[in-house]
Amino acid sequence: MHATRWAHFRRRMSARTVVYATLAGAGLGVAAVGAYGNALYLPGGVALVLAATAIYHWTQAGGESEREFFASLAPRLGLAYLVSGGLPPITPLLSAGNSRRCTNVMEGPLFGALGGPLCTLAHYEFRTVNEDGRQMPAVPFTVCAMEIDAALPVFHGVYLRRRPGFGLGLAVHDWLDRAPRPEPVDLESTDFEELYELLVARDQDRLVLHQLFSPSFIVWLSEHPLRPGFECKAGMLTVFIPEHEGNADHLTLFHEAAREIARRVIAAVVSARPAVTQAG
Amino acid sequence: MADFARKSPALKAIGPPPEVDRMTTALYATAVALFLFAVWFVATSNSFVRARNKVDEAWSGVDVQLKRRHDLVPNLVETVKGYAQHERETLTAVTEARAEAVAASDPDHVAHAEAKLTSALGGIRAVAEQYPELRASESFQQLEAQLAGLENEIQAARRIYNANVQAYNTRIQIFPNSLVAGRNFEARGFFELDSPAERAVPAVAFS
Repeated sequence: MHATRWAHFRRRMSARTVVYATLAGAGLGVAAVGAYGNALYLPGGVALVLAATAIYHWTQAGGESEREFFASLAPRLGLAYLVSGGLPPITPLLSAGNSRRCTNVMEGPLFGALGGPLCTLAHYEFRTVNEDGRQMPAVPFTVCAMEIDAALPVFHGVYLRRRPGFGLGLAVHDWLDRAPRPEPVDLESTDFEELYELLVARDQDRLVLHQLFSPSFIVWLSEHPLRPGFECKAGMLTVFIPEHEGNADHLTLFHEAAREIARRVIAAVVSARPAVTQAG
Repeated sequence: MADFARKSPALKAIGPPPEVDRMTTALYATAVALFLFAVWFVATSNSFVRARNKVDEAWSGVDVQLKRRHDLVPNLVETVKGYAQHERETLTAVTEARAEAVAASDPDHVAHAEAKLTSALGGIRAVAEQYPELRASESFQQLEAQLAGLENEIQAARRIYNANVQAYNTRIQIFPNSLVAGRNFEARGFFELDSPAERAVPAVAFS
């Protein structure tokens, strides 16, 4: 993600910038020498302003390199780069915490030229304020969210996420710890059970759930190198992995995983539709 | 001296002689050890039951997928019959293999019968190659796509079952778990399709 950071930094820290920073530092140093009568303030002032300038430009170069990375990646995924944006707080993860932020937002049809639902791939994080009023550290994710309207009557709440190891993963905030708390569901695979935690809304049709979690889907999820989780509620599908992913290969793999999960959800909706229509 | 000790309250407060104290400690230690052993025994036994249930659950998952394939076969046979009436032998082989697969119950027989059915279905595919009209028909294409999807699901269900069996077998066979397992928990067999077609290594010719 920051492959071109050094190049941007060098461009920003041109000879002219260094000269201006040195002059400004010297001016500051002379003023300090005049005020305190110590000659050491002169090189100290120069060093201070130069260091501040370098830190500022290093940070800015990081941002530029990040934007450049996503701007070049987005077309390869069939998406458009929007820099920033928002995600509707529909699924529990997207409405978690007290404040939420999206960066490096890419948007476009899920299946590229073939169309499909509009998907938003972004770096997302939420922050929680604890009972003492202290803000907890941000919890970062890479998410791919899309609206699948047809899933609205079929999936009332399906939440799949990696099983937290020794309580470390959810130490900050469990976004599914809400009323009414979804019910845990056991599937037939021991490997899957060790890796994932599946919870569903209390009124979720279990037959449809088992149609979605077919053996091939269970095996696919268990063997996927990124171990993606997903949430499907109120016609919104959110696929996610922890942390802000900055590797192009991993992001491509994640986008493909989101496509596969969406394909599975759509297939389950299509096969469940006659039953839902009859029930309705 | 002994008389003095019996009468002195200070000596009475020191308590019983050291031999009795050691015995009580040993009794407590044995009771705690027995309690811990009982807790471990029950927990281990329960974990075996859970693992065995997972194996059974995975087997029922395999069974569901196999039944779905059995239900599809008559439609496939009927469709092929409409276009290739002279392929009676192949169609009979499929029907017989299906009947055998439906009748099989334990994993060994099921594996053998399903392998036979897979092989017979391969015969239908070979027949279809000789009848362009059959291959072009929409119903045959749909059935073949469904069959391919089901075979995919069967493979996945089989992998889940075999992974569960491996986890269960390892759990009951490692020491000291094997002491708890005894004869109540027996190792399960893997579900392996002994299809010659599956086992055959494709020949690659370099010219």
